[in-house]
Amino acid sequence: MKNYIIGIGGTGAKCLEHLLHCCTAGLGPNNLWAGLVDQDEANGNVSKTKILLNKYMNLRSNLRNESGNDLAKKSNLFKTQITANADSVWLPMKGANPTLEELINYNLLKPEVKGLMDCLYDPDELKQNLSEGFRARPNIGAAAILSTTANEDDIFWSQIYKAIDAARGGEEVRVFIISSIFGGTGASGFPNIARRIRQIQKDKNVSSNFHLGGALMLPYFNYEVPEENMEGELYAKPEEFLDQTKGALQYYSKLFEYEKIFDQVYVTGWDPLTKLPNFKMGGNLQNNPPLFPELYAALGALKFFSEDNKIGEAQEIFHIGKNESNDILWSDIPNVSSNLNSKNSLTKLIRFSFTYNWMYGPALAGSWSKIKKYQNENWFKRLIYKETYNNDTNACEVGHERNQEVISAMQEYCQDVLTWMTDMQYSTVVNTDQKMDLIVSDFFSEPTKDDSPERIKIKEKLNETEKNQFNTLINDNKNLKLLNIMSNISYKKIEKDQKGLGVFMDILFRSCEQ
Amino acid sequence: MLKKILAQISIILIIFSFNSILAAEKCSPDLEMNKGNTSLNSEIDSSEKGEIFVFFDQSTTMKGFTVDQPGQENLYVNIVDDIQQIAENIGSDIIYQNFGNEINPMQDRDVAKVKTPKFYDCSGSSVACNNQSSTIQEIFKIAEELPEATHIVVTHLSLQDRQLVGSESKQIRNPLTSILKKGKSIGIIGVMNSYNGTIDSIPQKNGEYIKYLDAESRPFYILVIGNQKNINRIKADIVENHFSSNQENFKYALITSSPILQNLNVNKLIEETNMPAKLSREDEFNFSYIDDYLPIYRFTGDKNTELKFKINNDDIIVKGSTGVSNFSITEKVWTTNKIKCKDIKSWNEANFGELSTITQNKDELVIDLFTKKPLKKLFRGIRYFYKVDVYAEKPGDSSEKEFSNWSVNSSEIDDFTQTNPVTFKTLNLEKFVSILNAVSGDTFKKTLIASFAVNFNLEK
Amino acid sequence: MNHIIRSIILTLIGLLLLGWISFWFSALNALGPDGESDLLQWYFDNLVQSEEITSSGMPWEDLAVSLYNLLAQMTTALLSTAVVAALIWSIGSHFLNINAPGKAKFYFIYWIIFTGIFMGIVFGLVFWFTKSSTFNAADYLSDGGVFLISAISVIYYFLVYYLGILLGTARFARSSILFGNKLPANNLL
Repeated sequence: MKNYIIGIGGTGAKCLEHLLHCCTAGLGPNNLWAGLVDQDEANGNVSKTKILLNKYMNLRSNLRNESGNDLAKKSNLFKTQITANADSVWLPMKGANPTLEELINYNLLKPEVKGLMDCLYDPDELKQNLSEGFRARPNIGAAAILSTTANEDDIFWSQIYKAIDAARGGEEVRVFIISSIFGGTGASGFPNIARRIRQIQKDKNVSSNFHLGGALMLPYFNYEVPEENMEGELYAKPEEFLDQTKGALQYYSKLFEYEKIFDQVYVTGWDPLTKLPNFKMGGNLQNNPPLFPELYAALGALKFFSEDNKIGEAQEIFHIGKNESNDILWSDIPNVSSNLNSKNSLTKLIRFSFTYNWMYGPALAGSWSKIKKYQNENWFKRLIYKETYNNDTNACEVGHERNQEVISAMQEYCQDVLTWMTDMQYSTVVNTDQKMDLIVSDFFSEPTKDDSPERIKIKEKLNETEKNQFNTLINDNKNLKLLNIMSNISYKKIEKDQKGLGVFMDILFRSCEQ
Repeated sequence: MLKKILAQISIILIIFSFNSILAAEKCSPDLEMNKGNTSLNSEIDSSEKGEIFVFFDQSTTMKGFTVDQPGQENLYVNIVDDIQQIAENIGSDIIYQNFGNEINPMQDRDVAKVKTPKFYDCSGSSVACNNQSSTIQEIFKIAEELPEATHIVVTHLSLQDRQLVGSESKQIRNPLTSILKKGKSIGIIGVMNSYNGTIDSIPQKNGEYIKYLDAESRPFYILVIGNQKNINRIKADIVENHFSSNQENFKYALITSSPILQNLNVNKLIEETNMPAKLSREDEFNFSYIDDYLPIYRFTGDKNTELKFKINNDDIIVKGSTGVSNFSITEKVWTTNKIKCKDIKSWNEANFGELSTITQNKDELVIDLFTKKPLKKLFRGIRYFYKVDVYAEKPGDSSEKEFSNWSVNSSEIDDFTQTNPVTFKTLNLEKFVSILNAVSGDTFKKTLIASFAVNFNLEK
Repeated sequence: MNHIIRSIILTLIGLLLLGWISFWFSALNALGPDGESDLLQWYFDNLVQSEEITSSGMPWEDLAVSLYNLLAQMTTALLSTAVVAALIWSIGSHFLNINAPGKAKFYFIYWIIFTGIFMGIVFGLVFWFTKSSTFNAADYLSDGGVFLISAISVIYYFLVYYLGILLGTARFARSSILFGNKLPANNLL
């Protein structure tokens, strides 16, 4: 089965961030192609997701290398083979300062067509520099997207064409798109890209083995817009989100009634809306924190890709929400399938990230002269020394550069996981009456000052007392102590095909399972 | 039916208990009993009065005892009277004699003269008077010939060297040996008396003899040869009459071949109290006699149990005798690895060597058990049967010590005389007493005085 | 729990490597002296106060019954102690707070103390059997015999215990025991 996911707009990118962490935890399918669609190339969230995607792919390729470090097929860590284009982001409108006027060659239009355009678009809208997105103007975005999605030679769209070809060849293909129902790129991209995909499918006479799913994010956050310096600017106005949503829902209602675009649609939102502290019009300053509803969208996508998910002929619309109280609990997180428990996998990943970042990663970092003090310890001997020993040089090569790169990259990735989880937990409920205590994070992290781009700062080192609070890390869960982790890594069996650092990484990951 | 069953059970129980009684309990090993004599003091205690021979030393030097010395007490006269009286009391027939160079009979009426100076005047030539000496050896010969009589000799007992060596000493030794062998004893009663006369025949270093006239006191002696009863009687009477409050001027020794009074086993005189009182508080303590002879102390003790067997000297030593100077013990040990008597089938003879020590002090004879091989070295879980026989090896020489300060040797008397002593000593008294002791030692036989056994096991 | 059961099994295997000797020896002594056996003679020549026993007149074979009994009980007690100590350590090692890299070696002091306590108990047991007043047969033992018994017991039961804990100690705690890190790190051990 081939799986494709497209994250549209900033929300799509954020949902993809959640999805990547879920794939790290082993919740994803065996393979997945990922792409992002955003006119705002420099969007902070898009950049962040791009970076994370690259990290994931690099780390996975380093740890699933049969001739080097291999986690082996059975391992769930970085289970999903995620591929992407060299540039994973597709811009509907390329160029330094694209405008709608340029896109439609306004000046070359016949007058009557010009007049029609004048009716549909304000002059500001025609001239708006779209390099930082469509500024919550789906009318602009739709026009831009529709005019550019037909290009089979485009490196992004060629993947879609190939996917549909594969379906024609008999292989099951599932494509999933995520975006917000409000806003700019997402609102305009979701239906149009979906319809465009269906059109390609129809054009290629593919009638089976191809399934399209989508996650539609209803409004789930808002923010304060400062009055100064906004006069004359086009920007996303949060007070318009609900109206836009209302209009969009009416549209989709009709669309789904008359045209089966999607096989499965996952709809979610949030109430009350999460209050984001910062407003940025676009660009790299638009870096909103990960929020809990986005996790729903990611899990919806993973559920769509799950082999247990039997997609029928009729269109299915799924919606999800949390429990009615103000507390967000682990039970609010749905399972991807009957044998993929989201909570277990995510908590395993969080524990793995904690123990690797503060206990084992630092022990393995550095030259051999620094590391060798652990060489008599069972875990090191069994999982590291033997696996990184070079019979030609008669030396353990864990201190060598190529291994150190992997160790360091993993440590960085673990910090990303911890930051993601902590930030999500903090940002979702800050300034609301809601409470989210899925993990206890105050002993290893702290919120930064308001004007700092990083909302959460993870401590570089933990003292003994802080480390011992590991057993309280996951709320609503039995305690797993660091001692249990150490015991587990000493006793977990090494899988047959595992090699190099993959041995230790996988065993540590498995050891973090409750 | 029930009655029948009960009857059968009773019969079985009776048979078992009978069997257990019949089962040979070997609580003691097979012992060879060395039984002592019924009475060690084998003098025939005859109530019949016998002959009494009284010999008064008539040598001139004895005259000084009859002349008062101002400031000194003169007991000679009174004691002579006492002797006469006592002799009358204890004897049926009293024969008085005097002796000097020879022994001559005396009439009864002449006895009174003994108390006067005139009795001692020499009637012979000056040479004969100068050569007067006490032929005490003749008296011993008479005593030898008449062993059943009691012989009382009143004399100064100063003997020249020649009388104590060579053939002349045999004249003393041989009769004495015979006397002692016949079970008779010799009592020596010494009285320090006032003296006012001439002490002659004092040998000088150059071989000459001198006289001494300046003595104010000097001892005289009453030798009593006969049975211990009469000797003690005489001594008791003299003490009672003259020395009841102060015995400073009185000395007494009894020379006998049998200073041992009795064997303690014969009349079962050994008791629990001969061992420390704590012993009777030990577990399973039991004191009993086997064969009506051997006392056995049976107990379960520990390695710190104190075992001291004590015998009062008065129970074994004839009072006033020289006592015993050397005791010995023979020891034998048997062992078995069964603690309970009913389980013991046989005993094994052990070879432990010497285990205990025997010491004597003024009042007691003490056998300190397991001093050479302490109980700590014995094994728990084993029953030990330890039999001890106590023997008297050699009579004592206490009498020599008793008289030593009244004695002066011939090699010292010249110098002694030069000191112008007021109290004069008896020449060669100690030597004489040692001869008597030697004789009694030669006639002494190793005597079993007590036997006992301890039958014990140790628990901790 | 599985790890602990594994530890217990490995401990028992380790104990068995040398411990069977003690078991056999206990059984041999429990059966009592057997005529002119070499063991009986060896005891007489090396353990007991031969001269004292000979001088007591008692046949050695009769006296030896209680000595055999003493030795049987002593070796049983010592073996039990070694087994219990090894199991306690092996099970307890799973609960030592070795929760991070580099911590195991600091728990060496725990092992030293625990082993010291175990050896103290071994000494105490040997002393109790051979020197206290509990057993009559202790009286038969010579000073040299007591020394020999003590030395052999200390060395032997330490080895029994050590082999038990060497195999049975939790893997992550092996660095806390002497030469524990020399053990190969594989899935079997």
